[in-house]
Amino acid sequence: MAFALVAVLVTGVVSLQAMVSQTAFRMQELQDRSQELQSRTDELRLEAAQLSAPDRIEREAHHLGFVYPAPDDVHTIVVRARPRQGEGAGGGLFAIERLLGTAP
Amino acid sequence: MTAPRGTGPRRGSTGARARRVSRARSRGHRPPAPRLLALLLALCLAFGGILTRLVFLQVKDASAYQQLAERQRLRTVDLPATRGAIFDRNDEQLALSVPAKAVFADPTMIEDREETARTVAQVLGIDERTVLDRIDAPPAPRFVYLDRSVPLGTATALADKKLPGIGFLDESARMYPGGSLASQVIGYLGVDGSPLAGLEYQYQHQLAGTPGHAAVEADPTGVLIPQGANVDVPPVQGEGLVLTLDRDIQFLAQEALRDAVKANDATRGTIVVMEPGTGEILAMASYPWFDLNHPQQAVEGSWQNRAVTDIYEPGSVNKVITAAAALEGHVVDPRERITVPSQITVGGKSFKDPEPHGAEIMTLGDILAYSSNIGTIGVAERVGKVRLSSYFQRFHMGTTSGLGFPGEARGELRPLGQWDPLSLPTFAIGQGIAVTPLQMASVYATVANGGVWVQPKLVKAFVEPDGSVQPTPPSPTDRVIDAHTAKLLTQMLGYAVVAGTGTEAQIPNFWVAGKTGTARKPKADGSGYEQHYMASFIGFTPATRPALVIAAVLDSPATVFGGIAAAPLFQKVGRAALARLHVPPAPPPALPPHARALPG
Repeated sequence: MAFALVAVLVTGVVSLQAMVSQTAFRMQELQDRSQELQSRTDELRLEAAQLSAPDRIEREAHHLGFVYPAPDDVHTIVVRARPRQGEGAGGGLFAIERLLGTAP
Repeated sequence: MTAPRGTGPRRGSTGARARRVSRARSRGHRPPAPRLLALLLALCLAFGGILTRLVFLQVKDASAYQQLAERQRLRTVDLPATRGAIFDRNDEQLALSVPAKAVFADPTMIEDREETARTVAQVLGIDERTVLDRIDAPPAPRFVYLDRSVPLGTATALADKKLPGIGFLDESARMYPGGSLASQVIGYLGVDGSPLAGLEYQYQHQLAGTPGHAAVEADPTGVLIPQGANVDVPPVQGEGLVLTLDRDIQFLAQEALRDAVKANDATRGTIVVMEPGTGEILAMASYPWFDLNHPQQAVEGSWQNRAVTDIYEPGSVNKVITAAAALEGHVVDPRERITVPSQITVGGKSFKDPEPHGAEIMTLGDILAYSSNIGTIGVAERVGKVRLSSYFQRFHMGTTSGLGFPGEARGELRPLGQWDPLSLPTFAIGQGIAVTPLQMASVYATVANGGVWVQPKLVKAFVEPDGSVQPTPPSPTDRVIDAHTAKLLTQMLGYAVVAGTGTEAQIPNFWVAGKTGTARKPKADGSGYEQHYMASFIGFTPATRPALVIAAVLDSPATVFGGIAAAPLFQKVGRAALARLHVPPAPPPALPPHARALPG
């Protein structure tokens, strides 16, 4: 009887220890994986920052044939909320239409 | 026949020994008691010794042996804290830390030195000779760094080569995605991760975080025991910095500055862009600059943030302070028509205007707009040295801006008691005193801000390790001049751009108020002035609803004059920044009373 009890206890302790070890190894694996993913996240964050850097954007735009507008190419349109009294259709948005045209 | 006793074989049969014992027992004999006692005593002594030793081991010296055992099993691993990132005002990353590897060599373990050096150099992209030199460096240590902050991918590629004697250590690399963007402001770290310059140095305490450590159990081969004792003090990540800089405005300003330095054949240049209302600096750079990812390749002096560390004699841009002192002291009426002679002698020295002229009638607005030295000195004489000196101080000249930037200069402003007869006329026109470009930008920000000085600011917020954002408090303010005086000065500065020396700074539909400066550079030995000039234009736009203050300073341009060399730089940066910030056009400022006719 005593022998059986000791055998059960020993089996229980060994099983428990095995489970603890297994869980511990699994934990270690997950920690390594978490660290790996964190590193990957950092790398991707860096890559995103490098790709969005203004000098790279400018270089790419230049390769695609984009150029900065000359000062005379930039028009500032001053839009009034509503035509002033007496201006009729000559002011406000109508003035923009005259400048830009109404066609899309 | 019976064998004689003692002569037969001693190792007789078992039967013979049994018979002898049987005969002895039958005679009543037992084993001698002393021998048994001796045996018992020996056993007792042995067990007693063992017991005593056990007591010593388990009780008396237990803690010492426990410590020895732990020392064998337990290892303390340092857990470095991740350095906080640096962002621009729109959360764009300017500096961040990523995991990396340090590559080292144990020269004693390397089998083929040349082949190893070739492979390492090829994978790491460094010079083969350098690798060989490090491997062969006397006195042949067992540890030598071959490269630091190597990206993980590159390190893995090298590890795959399985080169004997080549090893790797975990570390983090500080990366700057913008390269040379705001390099002098951000600063950089040394190879060992210690801060060496800029905000990286200034905010080291916040950025660095707190390292942690972990005590882990390992088996005799060094493999960690997962269920062993693990006492961790986790590292605390450093705080992030959110700067006031706008990455795009910074980039555009740097591009424009580089172009201006080259176009005007200047030795260097500085640009500062700030918001007058908040004091927030949107862009700050000096050319030449350097790549933050390769600071060791920087040319001499290019790592200095000259906008705050270098002082220069500002020249005519300083006349706005003289005009402010005159208006506030009511020694000149804006409508007064002042006779400006062809030259003026003060303290035994004659002063002339850059362009010779006869006696002219000018208002204060004309004097400022056309940057008349003679007119300004005449006005300064009315102001007097006491008042002029106090206004220099009120505009925070001679003191640091409050940024706390490493190496920030306070400028040179002679105390009133040390003024000589030439101080008043020279200081009034911006010679003989020295300021940083940021200090001068602050003077114009004060005018733009209705007369209120706002302390410049570079850090907008801190990002806590948990991600929460803690804004920095608003900048301290100080009323320097009356709002009405600021309004009059704005009109005069606007007039300087419409009709005076600053026409090249005009931005159509936005209107600019500003002033040119062309100051001779003092000789290094203080014995006079060089034939080189500091050309500057400092102003704000839109003049009637100021959104930006820009200081553009070029050192020794071939084109000499601020109106020619620096004003176009102001205009280019101003246009780009206004567009970037979606600033709407504003009405033009009113013209001040003037005696000269407006151009065309």
